[in-house]
Amino acid sequence: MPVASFLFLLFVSSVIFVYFVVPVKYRWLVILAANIFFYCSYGVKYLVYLIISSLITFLAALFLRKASEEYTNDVATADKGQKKQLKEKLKKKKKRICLAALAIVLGIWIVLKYTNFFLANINAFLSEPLPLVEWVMPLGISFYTLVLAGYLIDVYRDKYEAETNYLRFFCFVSYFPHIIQGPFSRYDDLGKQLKQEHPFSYDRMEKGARRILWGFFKKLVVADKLAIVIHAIRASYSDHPASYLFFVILMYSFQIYADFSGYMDIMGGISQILGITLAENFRQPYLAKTVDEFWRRWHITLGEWFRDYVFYPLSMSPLAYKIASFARKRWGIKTAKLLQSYLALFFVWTATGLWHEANWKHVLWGYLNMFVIACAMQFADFNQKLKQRLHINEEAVYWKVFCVARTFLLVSILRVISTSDSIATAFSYFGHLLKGGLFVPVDFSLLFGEIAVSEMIAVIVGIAAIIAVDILNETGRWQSFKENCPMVIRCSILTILILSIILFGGGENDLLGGFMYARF
Amino acid sequence: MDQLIEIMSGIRPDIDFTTATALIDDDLLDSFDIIAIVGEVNYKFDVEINVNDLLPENFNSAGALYELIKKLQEED
Repeated sequence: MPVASFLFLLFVSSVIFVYFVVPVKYRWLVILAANIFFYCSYGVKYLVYLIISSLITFLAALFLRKASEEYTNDVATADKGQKKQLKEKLKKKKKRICLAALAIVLGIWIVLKYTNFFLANINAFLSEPLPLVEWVMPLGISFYTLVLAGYLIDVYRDKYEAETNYLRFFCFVSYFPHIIQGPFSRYDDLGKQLKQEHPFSYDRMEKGARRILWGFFKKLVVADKLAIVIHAIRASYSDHPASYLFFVILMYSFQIYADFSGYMDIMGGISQILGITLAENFRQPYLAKTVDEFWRRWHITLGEWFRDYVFYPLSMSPLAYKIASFARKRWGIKTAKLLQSYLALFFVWTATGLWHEANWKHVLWGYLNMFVIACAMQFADFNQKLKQRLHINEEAVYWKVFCVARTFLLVSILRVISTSDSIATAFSYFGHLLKGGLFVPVDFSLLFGEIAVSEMIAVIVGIAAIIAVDILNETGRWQSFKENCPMVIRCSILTILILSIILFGGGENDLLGGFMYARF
Repeated sequence: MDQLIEIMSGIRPDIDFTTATALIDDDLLDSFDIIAIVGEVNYKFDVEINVNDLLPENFNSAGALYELIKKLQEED
């Protein structure tokens, strides 16, 4: 069931209607049924994998809970020496349970997603290549596996208690607004909300509907139209002057933002109507002043997942401490901090690259992001001194605009690597960019030749609107703008959005669910 | 407390840790600073701050972190 379809709208309308008709205490069962229906609409076979992974996680968390309860009972009657022994025993037992479950749940995902990547790499050294496998790739597996792993680690760390009702737990994991593309929800947030009672609210309904509309506008009018233009230019990039290729790089950044954040707005809006707040995945990412900051504003829940479950544990591991301690003694505290950070960054960016897709171009893209972030850290003192010497006022508007533009440019250029067919194609694209012609005037009628002029205007207005909303949000004026906006203007904006979707909606929609991140 | 301020100032000399009370809420410290501070604190105070303790309320001020250190020392 593609999200950008009338069928999906019918599904959502039915879910909302039934949800508010049934008694409050049974509403979570409506969500559970909706989750199963939505997920099965992409293929019933996928459900088997989801049930297996979620059941293993659920049971492992229950074992962890049981182990903790046994410890609490035993420790009540133990003396100081025994307490220490019991604590050590509990620690080991919990570690074994957690690692075993993680090995299975992550193992299923790794085998299904990465087997062909391993085989292709082995084949590079073999005269007779091994045949590649054609295994099923359950929808949203890269998302729900990490959600499950996060839940299990949180229970292991005693962050919260394990859920005892499997259906409640499954309802959380399979929650249809987050199952395909995230956000990566946490059980202590979403799981808790799914347990609460949510009476009907007209205010929520109105706000949610507006957000859904905005999401569809971004997706159908901006992202899908840009996809047609970008695809046409990139397919024949060697025939175009550098200025066109450069323009396409920038436009792709708006395409992916409109696509991904559009999806989040649609799902966030649906969830809002149901009374459940989804975690935000974006915070004006293109207004970030550094690449590091960009990654704290873009796909926020993925970044937070890697921070909490990869970055921190690795940075605080005994090995990291040994390296830091060695560096501290030899080169001082600053170098120790940098080394410790670089080590963790290396693993985080390897994982981030491979999480997106199992290929080397994504690994390279990850390392280049890491390189930029590491350079900024390494030369932070030098940069500070340089700014002082050049009398640069960091609070001045010109400097902020420069930093934002620089970051946007860097992020956009790096994306050429991850979005090209191969690393070789990406470098060939860069080669054509450097060949010359960067100052050849862009003929917009030619650049947007694949779409109608009216559609081109809608895209440009759409991009301007996205930027305007982000700037208003960043400066904290969006809320007051919405509240003080006269009814006539508000209605006009909504009418324009609806008409734009009807008139210009649709385009390159051949990806799973019609959204770019669904393929991960 | 003075030793803790010295550690924190060594990692971020640009911040006045004697007065700052929203180090995390105001985005003054990033995750790199936090792991460096944790590493130093664990080493100098002989405690074990783990991932669960990495909460904004424990790192928003030097005072809050000092309280966490005292708590961990008492638990040991």
